[in-house]
Amino acid sequence: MSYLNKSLIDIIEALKNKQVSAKELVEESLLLANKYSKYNPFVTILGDTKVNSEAPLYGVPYALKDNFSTKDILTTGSSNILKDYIPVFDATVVEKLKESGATLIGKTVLDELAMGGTGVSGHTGRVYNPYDPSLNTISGGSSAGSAVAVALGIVPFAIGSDTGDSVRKPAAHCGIVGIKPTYGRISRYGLFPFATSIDHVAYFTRTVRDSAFLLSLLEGSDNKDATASTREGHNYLKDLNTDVKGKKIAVISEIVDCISEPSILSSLDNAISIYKEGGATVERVSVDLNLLRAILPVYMIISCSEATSNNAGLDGINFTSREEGNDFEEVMINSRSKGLGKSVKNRLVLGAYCLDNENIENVFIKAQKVRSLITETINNIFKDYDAILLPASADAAPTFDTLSDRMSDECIIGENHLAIANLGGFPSLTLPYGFKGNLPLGVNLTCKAFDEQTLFNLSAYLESKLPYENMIAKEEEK
Amino acid sequence: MEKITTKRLKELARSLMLDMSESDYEDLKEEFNIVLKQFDLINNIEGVDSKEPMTFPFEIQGVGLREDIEGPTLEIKDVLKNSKDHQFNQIKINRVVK
Repeated sequence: MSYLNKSLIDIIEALKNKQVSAKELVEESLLLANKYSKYNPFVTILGDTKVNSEAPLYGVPYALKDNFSTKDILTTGSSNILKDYIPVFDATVVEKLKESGATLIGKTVLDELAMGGTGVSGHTGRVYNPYDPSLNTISGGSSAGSAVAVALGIVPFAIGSDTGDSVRKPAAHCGIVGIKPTYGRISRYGLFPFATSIDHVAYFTRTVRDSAFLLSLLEGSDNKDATASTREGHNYLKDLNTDVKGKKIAVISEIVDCISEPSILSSLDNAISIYKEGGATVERVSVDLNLLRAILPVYMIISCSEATSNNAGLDGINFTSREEGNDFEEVMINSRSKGLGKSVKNRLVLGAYCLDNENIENVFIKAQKVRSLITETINNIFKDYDAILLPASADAAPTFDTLSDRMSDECIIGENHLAIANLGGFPSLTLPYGFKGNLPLGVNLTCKAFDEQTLFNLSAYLESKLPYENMIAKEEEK
Repeated sequence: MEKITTKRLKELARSLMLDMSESDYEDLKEEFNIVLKQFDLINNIEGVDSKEPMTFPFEIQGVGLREDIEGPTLEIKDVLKNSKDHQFNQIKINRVVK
């Protein structure tokens, strides 16, 4: 009998009741990790079963995005420049999971250094969507392997990072739950920095209850991360309440109106009806279209600019793969030029452009000012509403060769609006709410900063009315 | 927004200690042409100039003077094990003044 197809909370219960042992669970998880290797979710598969039997996650296998430092375990950031890097310390989130007794079974593939949204640029190859066994469809990224590992039932949860939508978008494409809590809610110590002011530790589960349970274990202040919140921890699972009567939910008209895919729009209508049936008010609100069009460029300007600085240390000297050169400058140039992939180089050059003396005022500082206005606008919505409800993407996961009109509102707004929550630090959760053919679709809820309890409550209600809780992609069922 | 040239891209890449093939620079130029049009979208918004630049979502809370408490330190052998070349407990690189 398999236990890995159960939710995290049910697995913990089975372990407590001795229906399954930690050893059996880890062995099954490793078996599945190898069975599903064609989807390429892992950079490294492990299998360390040294755990503390008194801890809350004792025996539970999990996967970790390969941009979190793990002491004595290869950590590549899915980049050739770090292909041999073995950190000498654990990220805080890794320490917390060790203390909780969870067993790390593998480090997962990401878009190189988390700079991407498709799962195609990792140095060990593309990651494939588990709902398309013909391997033509993207998983979404950058936390691609973590999403796929959870969707395939290899692990009940996996850790990712979310700088623009890197957990919430692949969650939508893979039919699972992905949450990015409030900025700083979970310490980022040991996460390879991409864009410091918008990077978040985030994670995948297959149920909202599991998501609520995990946040209580992962959150908390950290004297090694000055941006980690010092707020008291909370038992979100204990306070989970699916009564939505009287709750007020906003739907931003201009975002929905630029989406044309019928399956997305009908799934959204269904979700709205479900909330109304539960006694919630769902209303359309309006936001300046030009401000919504600015979300993607503001995200790109800020993230690329911060990335140029954050990745300056990848120079082939102190660590990282070193290439030969006649002097240290040549060593650096050769190491960075050969070690970094094309897509990362492009983003870094964009960042250098934004920070160039000629542009810094009109591009970088301007983007930071627009970020203020976007955040203020969303906070004004939260004065009247408990949450914002929107499709997580404008369509189901595309195939690898899909080309889109990159100046269309559907692309600029419909596919990129989730970055609002990164710019403002808002907690934001995606859960499955429909299908387009064989491919799952995700809906997103975003709440005001530090209001994860409302986010979990509203999400759990919707999940309870839909048939997608604890959904696993199984080849034989398609 | 300026019209980007390959020469300008090479200068920017060089400032990052990066180099690329000529065909990669051509691809990057095409990418810039699209992205700079997207960047231009931040110039169509009213009321931005009076806003303060937003550098982080919230005020950083956990900072201030702290007690000077000795913490764990890394072993030199651990620090050196990711370097390609080292000697006398120091990372070895090419000589600067020859």
